Amino acid sequence: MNKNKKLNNIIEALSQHESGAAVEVLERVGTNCTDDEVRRLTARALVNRNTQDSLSVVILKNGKGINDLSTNVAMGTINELLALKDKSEALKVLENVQDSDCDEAIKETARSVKALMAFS
Amino acid sequence: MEIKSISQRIFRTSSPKTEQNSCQTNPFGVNFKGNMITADVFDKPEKSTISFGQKAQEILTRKMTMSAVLAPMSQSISRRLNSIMSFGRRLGENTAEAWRSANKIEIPFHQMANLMQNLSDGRTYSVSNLKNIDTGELENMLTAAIA
Repeated sequence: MNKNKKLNNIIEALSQHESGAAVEVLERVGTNCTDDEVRRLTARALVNRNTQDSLSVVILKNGKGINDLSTNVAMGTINELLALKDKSEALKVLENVQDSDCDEAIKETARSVKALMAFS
Repeated sequence: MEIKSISQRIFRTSSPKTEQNSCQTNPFGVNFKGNMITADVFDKPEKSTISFGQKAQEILTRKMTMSAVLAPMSQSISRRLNSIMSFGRRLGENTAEAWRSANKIEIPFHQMANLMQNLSDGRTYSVSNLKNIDTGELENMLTAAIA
């Protein structure tokens, strides 16, 4: 089995894992990886997990998910958020961003994504 | 001389024959080479009239007829059996040759090891299997896979 397939399967397994610790593993190892492809896969896995914890990582954290420096990773995460069947959790997190004391850039990005989700 | 006979002589016309149909009363009458075969021909002779010599002759004739009929049949059967046997022999030879060829095939050890490794990885790294592994171990596996 090649490396990419292994990576994909491990990240997918962490996305479907019952334990909440899986989110921490994805955040600690996946989102901090220097490889754009690994970060993109991790962000997708966190979005597909569709919980408050996992969505907070990709929406609220600076330099991760929709706030990633790589346009490819950021746009990929936004696309995954827009493709969610149940967007209620994501909308809750996006609304919480406005009330939080995080960076203005993060709030701006969250506002844009929320507007896109309203249209989709 | 009559006028009629004179004209017959001049024009050589044959006198009209009065045809006698002998089988008018026999509906099964058959004409064979000009002879009329009547139903009497088909009548079997009385058993009592056949002598011992005639019986023996009849049996001999029957035997010869049967042997004449059976000989070609036995020949055709034996020919078919021979073809079936030769087909079986050829099949056996081909199978043996295929087995010998299969034995000659050599799989290098590293190729076999790679194949076994891939099969093992396929089972180990399947999502359904990985989901049941502890997150700590998964973290190690993810770190190893990235490196």
